[in-house]
Amino acid sequence: MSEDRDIRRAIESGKKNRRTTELIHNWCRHANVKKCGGTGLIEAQTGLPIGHHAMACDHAPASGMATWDLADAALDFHDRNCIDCKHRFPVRLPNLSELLGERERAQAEQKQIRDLEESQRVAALASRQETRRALTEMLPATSQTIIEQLGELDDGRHEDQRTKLIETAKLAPEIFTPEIIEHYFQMLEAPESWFSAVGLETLFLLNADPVRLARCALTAIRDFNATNMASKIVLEHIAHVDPSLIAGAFRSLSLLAAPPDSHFTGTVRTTTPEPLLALYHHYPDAVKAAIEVYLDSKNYSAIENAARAILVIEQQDKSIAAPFARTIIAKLARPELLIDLNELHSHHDEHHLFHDLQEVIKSSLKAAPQETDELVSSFLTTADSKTTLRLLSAYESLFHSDGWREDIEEIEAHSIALRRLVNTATSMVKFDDLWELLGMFRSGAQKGLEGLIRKEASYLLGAAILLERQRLELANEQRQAKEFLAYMGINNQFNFLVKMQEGLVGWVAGAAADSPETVKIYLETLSGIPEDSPHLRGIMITALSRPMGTVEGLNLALPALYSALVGSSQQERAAAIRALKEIDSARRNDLPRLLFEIFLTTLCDPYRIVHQSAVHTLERFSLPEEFRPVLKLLVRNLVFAYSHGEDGDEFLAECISLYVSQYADKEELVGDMGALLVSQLARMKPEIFMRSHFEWNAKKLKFSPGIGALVVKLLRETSSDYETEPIFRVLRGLPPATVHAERKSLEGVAMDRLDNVDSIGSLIELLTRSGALTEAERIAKAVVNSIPDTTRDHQRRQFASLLHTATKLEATVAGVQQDETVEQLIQQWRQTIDDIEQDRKEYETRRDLLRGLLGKNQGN
Amino acid sequence: MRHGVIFSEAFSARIRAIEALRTATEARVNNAQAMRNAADDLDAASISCDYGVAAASYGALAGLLRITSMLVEWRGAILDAAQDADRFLRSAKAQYRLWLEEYRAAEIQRGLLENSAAIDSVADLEQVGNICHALAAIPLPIPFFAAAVYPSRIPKGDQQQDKEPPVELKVAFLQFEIDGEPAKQVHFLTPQMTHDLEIEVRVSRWPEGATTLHLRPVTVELPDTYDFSSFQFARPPGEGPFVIRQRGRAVLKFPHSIHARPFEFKYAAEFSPRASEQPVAVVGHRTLRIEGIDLQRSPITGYQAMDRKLLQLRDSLRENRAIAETDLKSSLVLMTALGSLACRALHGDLYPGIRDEPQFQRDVREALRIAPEIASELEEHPHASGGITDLSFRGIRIELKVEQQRRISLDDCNRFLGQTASYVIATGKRIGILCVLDCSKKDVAFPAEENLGVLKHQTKEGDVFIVALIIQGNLPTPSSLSK
Repeated sequence: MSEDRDIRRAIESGKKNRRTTELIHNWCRHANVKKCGGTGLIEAQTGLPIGHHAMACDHAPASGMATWDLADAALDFHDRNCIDCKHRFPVRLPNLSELLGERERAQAEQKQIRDLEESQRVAALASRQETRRALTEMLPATSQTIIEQLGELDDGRHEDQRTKLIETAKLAPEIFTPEIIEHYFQMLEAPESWFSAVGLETLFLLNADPVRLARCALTAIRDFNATNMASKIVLEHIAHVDPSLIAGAFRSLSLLAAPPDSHFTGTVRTTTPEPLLALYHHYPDAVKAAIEVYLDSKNYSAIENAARAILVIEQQDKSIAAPFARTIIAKLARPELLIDLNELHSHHDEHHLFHDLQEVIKSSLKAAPQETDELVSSFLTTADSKTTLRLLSAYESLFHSDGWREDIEEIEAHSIALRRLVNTATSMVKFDDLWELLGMFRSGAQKGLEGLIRKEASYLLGAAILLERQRLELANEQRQAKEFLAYMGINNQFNFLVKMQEGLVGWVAGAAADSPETVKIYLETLSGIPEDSPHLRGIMITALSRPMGTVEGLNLALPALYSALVGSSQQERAAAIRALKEIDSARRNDLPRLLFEIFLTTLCDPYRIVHQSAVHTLERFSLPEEFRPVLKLLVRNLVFAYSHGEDGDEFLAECISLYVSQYADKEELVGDMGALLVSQLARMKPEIFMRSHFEWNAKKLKFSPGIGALVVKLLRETSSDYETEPIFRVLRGLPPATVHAERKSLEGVAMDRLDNVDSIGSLIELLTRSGALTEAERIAKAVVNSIPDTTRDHQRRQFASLLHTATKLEATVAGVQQDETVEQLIQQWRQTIDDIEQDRKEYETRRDLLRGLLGKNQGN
Repeated sequence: MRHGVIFSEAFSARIRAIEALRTATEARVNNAQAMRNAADDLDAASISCDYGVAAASYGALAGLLRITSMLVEWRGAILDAAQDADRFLRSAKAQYRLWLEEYRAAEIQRGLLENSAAIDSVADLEQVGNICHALAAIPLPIPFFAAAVYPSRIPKGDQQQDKEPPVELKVAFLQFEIDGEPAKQVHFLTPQMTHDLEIEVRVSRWPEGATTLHLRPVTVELPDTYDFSSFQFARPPGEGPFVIRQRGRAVLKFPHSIHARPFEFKYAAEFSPRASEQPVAVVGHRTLRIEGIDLQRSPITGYQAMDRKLLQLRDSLRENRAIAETDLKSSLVLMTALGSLACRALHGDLYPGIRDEPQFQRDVREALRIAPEIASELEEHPHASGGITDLSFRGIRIELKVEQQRRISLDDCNRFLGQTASYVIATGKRIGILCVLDCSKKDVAFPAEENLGVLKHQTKEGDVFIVALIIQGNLPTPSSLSK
């Protein structure tokens, strides 16, 4: 629903940008449009220029800004560069002049509105002045000063004038005659917004009629005027409030109590929940009636206000949400019928509203779990997956703690929610949207829920067993899928389901850490799972590491782990190895030696899943020192075994990494073994080596034969900064002679990416360090030649010239080059620096980044 | 991640340094101050560089500029006939020695060390210009990127620094006693019989809030196969370290098979409640390896001395992890059968007179096939290493030999070792069996278990183990001994 609106908006924006692009091209032959950022799915599908774009020109000394609406960027660019441009070459109409004309018309319309408002303001002021003149004649001389001060405030609206009037009321309340007080009330009831703060505070200080004052205060709140003072009066005169006005002021009361979230992160909104809470305390029926009216509305803001008000009142009355649960559940179940979401509402707005409504359901679940669950259940029977997600998100949110590192306090609702969520998971055919909802099982359970999980241990483990059937069906579908997309869809579902099973098992295993009874239930369940379900058994065996965090748990779980480790199922052996990897470090020292001995045998297990798991485990699981020689031998055997083909390169890289970091000695790496390891790494796809502790391994292998060529090969085959940065770090750590030997290849790499400042800078550093001064000079020269000699690129080219001069200077100093003298080169350097500085000064104003935003452009 | 470009600022400093050095090559110029200024600029550039080698090289050149500025001062002072001009030279040399200490092992451009070596031996004015010229001719890496600047860390409060850390919480296992005797490396316990188990530990200190120390046995065995006490200690009076002792019980509920590894119980220490501090180290002998074979009730061969020898050999073979567990198991089956045969041969004179190898092979084959664990899995004459082995069981080669001439001992069996080992290696194993029939004429027979042992054959890839057994035949009749 909201996604459709967002897509429509993006398409419209793309069409507008396409039109602006045409106007830019027609404006000047030199002008063009530059895309900034990546290409989204909608852009890729439609071919429309969606996203941030900027206007550019070779003759422009200042670049503009990139904007979502290209028209904004085009006008900004025009104001910076085109107004006095001597190179402009108009193509045809329509062009940018159309946008310029629109801007002028809009500015003229705004001026007209401002003029009209000004004339109305002057007329109203004259009328008020006339009233005050008439009033003055009726007042004693001492009181006339009040009217004068009021007149000054009306004219100037300064804070000083407000203060003066308030201070007068404090120091000389007697000069406020009944006529003045009546005039004050009349102005408040008019209402005159500029006067609200002064009027309310003065009348409050003078103890004026509380009933009338409370009414004025509630009216001010309704209009969102002087809300601080008005709130104070409402709280002070709560007994005199007219309940019939609450409905009118409800929107403002809700906004004061729970202001909408700011779009700018870090902005703290002040909340004033006191008036709403006080009114609810004294007039609950009136507030509830207002909530009901707002909830019954289809208006987005009204519903949001009602939901937020309920959440505020919940602090005072835990049961407030329950009576509204049916309405809110209905809104979440049928938003397309019961909520007006128009084109202006983004999916973020929709998400925020749903979130507020879900929070109300959560509150209702806490207050009346059984009743609320029954209501939700009645809607779930016909719900699709999206609706289910919206409704059950409230259940899921019960399992989040309120604050960072805070434990959850277990209540009755948790048990109901847990069962509802688990039931949903086990009865779903497809998990298209529910991954979001059931994702909570994929992470560890929040602290505080251990008791609940222990109580529900059998239920949760049973759910994991029930999911096994769905998993098998998905596995079957996966095998039969012929289309790639269909396969991927099933694969995602399959993976999600596996994670869900792991999560359910993990929750119980985690809660069993301090509960021998739960460990026993866990082990009984494990032993009851037939051996032809090795997948689920494997999950449960892996999760055994959790209860093994205590000595008692360790002892209870060890026999099962050991049996799996020596058992006939390769999946269970691998699972047991994974459990060893996850075992708490404090308990590793308590493991019997027998277990280590068996672990060693898994490194020569004929099944890949087993010995590969063993190697994964060795990265974190250390065996006593006495096993080190055998481990070295076994890992080296694996390196040899996997050195014969591409199948298994990922694992080979891991073995090499393990061998290099844990077992190899320095002499070995400088010799044949080092050469073998490097040659194997060079044979692999670069991404495989890069993923496997690349920097650490390269550091260890830095003296091995062939390492220089390997690293340069990696550099040549990668392009993103993310990948090249670690490669350059490694190159920096290699001996200079190794880099020097690779200078030709490095020059080749540089020539392929002359526009990449990071690569060029790094290569110049490396080559000048290793003494390859000629290559460095050639690269710098190529960079200068690759930059067009245009106004736009002038600075960039000059900077490249500096680099070229520097490389020539180092080569000349060393005697490698003799075309120019050192003095000539120093002169060249200084000339270029002066030129850059002159260019900077000349265009400083035009290049001001914020010029357009701050309205400094000529057009503004 | 790059943190900006420093190149133009840094290289400007480099240019000023080159200029200062080149100017100083002129004998009559005294630009010491300009050199020092250039050194300051280089230092500032050095701090800002991201590339460590460039930063260090710039820093090193800055140091050399300051040193050569002293040489230039010295030259000026001599030329101006100033008093005590040599103090500049002495200072330059002293500074240079300090510079060398700092940069000798540093990762800098090597030319800086080589071209500056002459400073230490400067004696006349001409050398100053030469040194400046040499230093100006050293190419340096061009620094391009700026170094990252991280906010400094907030210093720890005084209170934290002053607080003395508590003694490390350690639990040391001092002693295990079973039935009043210290536990052996592998301790024998009679199955289905209750034994005393006494434990003594030292605790470095008692953690705050902890009420009880639990010592529990950790094992991979199923709980219903053993019953070993868990120990609980309440906090003893006084200050640590504490030595505490307690007695419990140990029961093995079932006897072991010869193929089974000993039970292993590792005692773990944990304080309760769990939220209290836990030991950072549990040290000392805390593992009990318990053997529960009951040779009386479940004999292996029926000959106790041979049974004990078999267990001893099994343990020594297990020590070597190169032998696969399955191969060891198969070898034990064979060793049991052949050990029994050796005892029976001695007991009943199974092989009287002189025999040849084919005869002996038939005898052994029949004897092994009688054993139900071997029976049909025994192969005869399988090929290995270009030769034909005698017998084989699950890949474990059995080489049979007959000695008719003279009495043979286990040491004499080494002459058959090479052949047997080559068959074993060809099969990809680390263990094999050599069985020799000694049918030489003899006056007296030896106990059968003394003729069973393990021989080692060394290879590049590690040792190959050959279990050697001599079966005694052609035994003297007891009556012949009395003649």
